[in-house]
Amino acid sequence: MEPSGQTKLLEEVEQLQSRVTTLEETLMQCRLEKEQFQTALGQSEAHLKLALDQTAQKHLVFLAEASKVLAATLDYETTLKTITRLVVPHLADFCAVDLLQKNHVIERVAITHIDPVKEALVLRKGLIRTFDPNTSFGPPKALRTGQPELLSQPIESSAVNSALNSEQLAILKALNFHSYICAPLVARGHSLGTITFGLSESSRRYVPSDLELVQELALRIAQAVDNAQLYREAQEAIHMREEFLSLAAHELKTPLTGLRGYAQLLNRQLDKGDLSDLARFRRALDSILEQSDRLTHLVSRLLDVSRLDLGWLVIQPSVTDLTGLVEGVVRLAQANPNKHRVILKASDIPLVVMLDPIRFEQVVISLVDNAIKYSPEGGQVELQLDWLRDSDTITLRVTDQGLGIPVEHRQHIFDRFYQAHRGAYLGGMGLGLHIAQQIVTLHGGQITAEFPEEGGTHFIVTLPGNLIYNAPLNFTTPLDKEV
Amino acid sequence: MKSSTGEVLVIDDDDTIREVISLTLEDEGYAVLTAPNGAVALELVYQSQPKLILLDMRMPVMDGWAFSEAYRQLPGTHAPIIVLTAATDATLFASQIQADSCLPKPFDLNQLIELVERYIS
Repeated sequence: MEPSGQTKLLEEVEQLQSRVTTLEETLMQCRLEKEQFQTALGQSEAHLKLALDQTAQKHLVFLAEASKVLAATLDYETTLKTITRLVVPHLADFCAVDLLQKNHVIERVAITHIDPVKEALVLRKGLIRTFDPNTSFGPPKALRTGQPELLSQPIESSAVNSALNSEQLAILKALNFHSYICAPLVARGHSLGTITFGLSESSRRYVPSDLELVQELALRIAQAVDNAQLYREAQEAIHMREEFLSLAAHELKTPLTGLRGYAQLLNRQLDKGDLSDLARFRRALDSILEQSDRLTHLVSRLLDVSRLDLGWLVIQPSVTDLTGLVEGVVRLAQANPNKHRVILKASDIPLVVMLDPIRFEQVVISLVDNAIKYSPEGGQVELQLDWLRDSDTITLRVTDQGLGIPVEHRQHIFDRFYQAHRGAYLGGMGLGLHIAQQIVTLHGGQITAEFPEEGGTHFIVTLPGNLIYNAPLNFTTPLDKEV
Repeated sequence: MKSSTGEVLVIDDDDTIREVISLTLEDEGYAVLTAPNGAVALELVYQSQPKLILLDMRMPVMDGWAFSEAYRQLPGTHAPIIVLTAATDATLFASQIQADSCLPKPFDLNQLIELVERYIS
């Protein structure tokens, strides 16, 4: 080998050695960094675990505190306000609870915002807000689907614009959410309302793991609200029963006063040995009988109600001349001296029907009595009995020109103990229409009411055509019989 | 039998109760006026000044509360009012309208006569 070749080789070896040394150093460095990294990773994991443990711990403490608040009282409106104040600011910048009301309106019952100015704005714009139930986000959606909703970016403006009115839009804009969770409050399979957590002031965003806490809170709120609502309903039922008992006592004592009074009056006359005025004796005895009939009637209605409650009210259908039955009630009403003209329009051909004559007569009497009672100024009470072949139904229409029924009472008129004109002291116990409807239902029919704009009330009893016993081939409409 | 000592106004929406009270008090020698509600009664007190008013509370057209308020706003002296009611809250109603006395229904005719005698002597 040439000397120059040897030198070159030596140089290359040196270079290689130098590179090996560099590589060894790099390797050492890498090992060192790896160790450092592993140490750091270990510390991070420990930190993360600690952080998670702390969050879980905080959530548990929060839920325990929330449960305590919820259990404290049955006044859930106050309780829910405390809950939203517990949520803000640790878990949300904004928290609201909405409850579904009896009239299917969603009402905002509690609200807290981290910024008192914004909270005041929402409050000033009205705590009670109605939502369109078909809205594609927020409380209406959660109520409809029964599922929680998590949003980590602002709601699409197109959806918002179409669902909210200008005032609601202004509120939503002011609140400026960029992330929210809305969870339904579900108890015994029913959605009672929703709870909403919103983030707007901080840069935080909700993530799916946050749902768990909100749902856990929603469950506790739902149970508390459900218990409180059940308790209120029970209280209302007790109150209604007490009011009814007081009204029933009043109704029973009135004829009793007349009855006792006349009996005592007769006694006094006998004591005096004054038997001369026989007409007065007769009048007194007639009154006593009349008042005892009134009492019997009232007691029968009370018994009917308890029979209905127990499911003991049964009907005993037999072949009945329905036209004759209605005619009888009309003649009875005509015989009573009052300011009313009671008329019947029916076909000359009697309708013979399978129904319970005693119970059905009670229905007709109830409707006619009501028509007279609620037309204190008098007027015409018209009954119209018809068989509509097209729909194969029998209809009895009772119309009056009386007080009518105020809009707010209309949906309740068939409720037990309900009186639309209670303040007018026209008597009665709020049972007549309720019992009448039950009797008609037992016959497979129904009673409906119409409220014409010109006043008065129309009650329409509809019975299925299959109750007709021997369909009259020559049944005539229009109705040309007047009684 | 006493001579006619004064007029009693009976306000009650129940025909039979008005009749019984009238007959009883007339037998005792009182002149009795009756009205089926507060509105009719107000018309009557303009024409005659009753010495005592027997007042039912729950009546159509004008109830006992509205009548007593309107009656007390009339000028001149006012007759004592005895509340006659079948309501369970008879004494409460009587105190609400500051009635002089209260006779819950059903009442005894002797009680009625005694009470009327107490106010018309």
